[in-house]
Amino acid sequence: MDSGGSALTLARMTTRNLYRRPVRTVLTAIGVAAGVVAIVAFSTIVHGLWDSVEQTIHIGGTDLLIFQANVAADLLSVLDEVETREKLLAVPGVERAIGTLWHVVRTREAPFCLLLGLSGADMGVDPDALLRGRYPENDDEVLLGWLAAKYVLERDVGATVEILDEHYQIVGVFRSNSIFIDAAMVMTLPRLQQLALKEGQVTVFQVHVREGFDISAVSDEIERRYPEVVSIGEAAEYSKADQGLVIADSMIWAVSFIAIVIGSIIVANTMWMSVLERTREIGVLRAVGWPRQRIVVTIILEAAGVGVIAAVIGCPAGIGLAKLSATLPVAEQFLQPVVTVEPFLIALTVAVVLSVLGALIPAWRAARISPAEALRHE
Amino acid sequence: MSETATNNPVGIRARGLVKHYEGGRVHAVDDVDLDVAAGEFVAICGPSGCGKTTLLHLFSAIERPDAGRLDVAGHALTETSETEIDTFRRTVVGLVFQLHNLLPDLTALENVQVPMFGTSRSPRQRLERARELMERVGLTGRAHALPTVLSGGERQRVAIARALANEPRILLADEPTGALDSKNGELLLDLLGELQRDARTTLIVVTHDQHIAERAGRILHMLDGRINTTA
Repeated sequence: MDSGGSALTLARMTTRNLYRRPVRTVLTAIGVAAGVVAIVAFSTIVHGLWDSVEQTIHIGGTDLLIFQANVAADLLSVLDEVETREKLLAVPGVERAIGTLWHVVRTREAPFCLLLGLSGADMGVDPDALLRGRYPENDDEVLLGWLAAKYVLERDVGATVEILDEHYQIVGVFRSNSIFIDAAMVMTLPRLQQLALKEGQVTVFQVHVREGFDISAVSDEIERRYPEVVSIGEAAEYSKADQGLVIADSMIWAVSFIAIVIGSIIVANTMWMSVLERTREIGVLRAVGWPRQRIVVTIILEAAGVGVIAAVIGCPAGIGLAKLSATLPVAEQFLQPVVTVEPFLIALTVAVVLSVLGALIPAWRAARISPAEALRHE
Repeated sequence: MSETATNNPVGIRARGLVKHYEGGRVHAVDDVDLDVAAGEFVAICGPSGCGKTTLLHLFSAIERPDAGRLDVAGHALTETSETEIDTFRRTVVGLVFQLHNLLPDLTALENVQVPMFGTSRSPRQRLERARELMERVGLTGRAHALPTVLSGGERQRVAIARALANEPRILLADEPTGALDSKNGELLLDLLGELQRDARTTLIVVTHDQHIAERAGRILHMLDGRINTTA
């Protein structure tokens, strides 16, 4: 007797059914993969953004960032340089408070360029940050983040850069590990206050907490004493000062949801066609005693298979898209995709679940097929 | 009218069986009374559209009668739930269609395993049973062939193996030689007869071919949904 062959299982039948129309299966999976790509790409980008925010908060060993309370965007924060510093230093546990002015300008090389103004005393707080050259000492000197030097301006120490019709000497290049800051230019605080028409004002204070003090307790104390400011110790708190990430998050999920719904409709269409094509076969299965539930399971398994294929196609494509997006002009200053396992799991789950949802109506239709009518079906 | 054959235990008993279509305008099966003994070989003959296939579908519970009473192998089909009907189709009857109706993406061996889903057999046992049946119908060497590469006769033999998968007490064949040449048709009927005798299975063959019908122990003639004569 022939001893070859394997036992027939539902999984095997599902594979055969998917393989029956390989082009259709792949095209359907690509339709679902669009949603997967959106989820993975956007998640990767958003993770990168959150990561960058986290790094920005802790730049140069900073423990807390202090912004003006009740502003919708961090750049809109306005704090009195002297008064706020005094207030912060009065809080037990605050060792140092570095006031920084943030300002965005448009230059010939970059449509969106972040300028940071730091007082001379605060420039060398992190000695490891300077890659080459020195810190600005005069009002006509700037320090470049390494990203700004390499990709945005493509200039280095010794060259000049034009900002608001004036030329500045590049005196050094630094690295902070925050993509936002590394794409920025640093100049003296008085000069930037003058340029931004914000004399005596800063955007944010970087607070260093004295060793032995509980950072979150210090943060709470600052907010308790001074309700006009907010204190941020981690990226999750950044919405206190800026709604941009929250809005980006919402928009990303909205776009992903639309892509997913479209993918689900594509699956529904394909499975409906598949059920119609296989009416007679389904009738035979019913005639040999297959209950309706098993027919439904077969269709659902097929749809789940499409979802898995979609995830396999969509995950690498999503990462590719995120990395490609990060190389685009302007985006390269802010996007640093971070690949984690989470978006893959979400994408796989969403692809499978929504493929299955798309297959519910076709599966119901299949289960309703009368074996007698199906056997008469040509 | 009641058509009773032998004193053997009853395989099929129909009383006043009715099946209408198109809102009652088409009387496919019209007040049929019939008794078929267990282990009997019965042929149902008649012209196209006389209701033979519908009667077979009623016996196999593929269709439900509109009126009357039908007992098959001790199962009162007119009083059986949907779930019980599935079990009945899977375990009590075996069906051989005119056009084999094998699943095109499954090999011959896999097609034979299809009815065994939902039985107490494990996947391995299902495979072993399918192999036995493939050997029984003389297709061991063609077990891994897809239906598209099998000849018409081979496909019907696979269909018979599939029908026998769960050792049914009733084997129902609808024009089983309809798509075959005469030589293959004869071979297939030899096989069906042999299987029926060996397992003492009740065999009902629907055919419009008198020559085939003559192999049966009893011939029933249908016309306009009614059974007319017994040979």
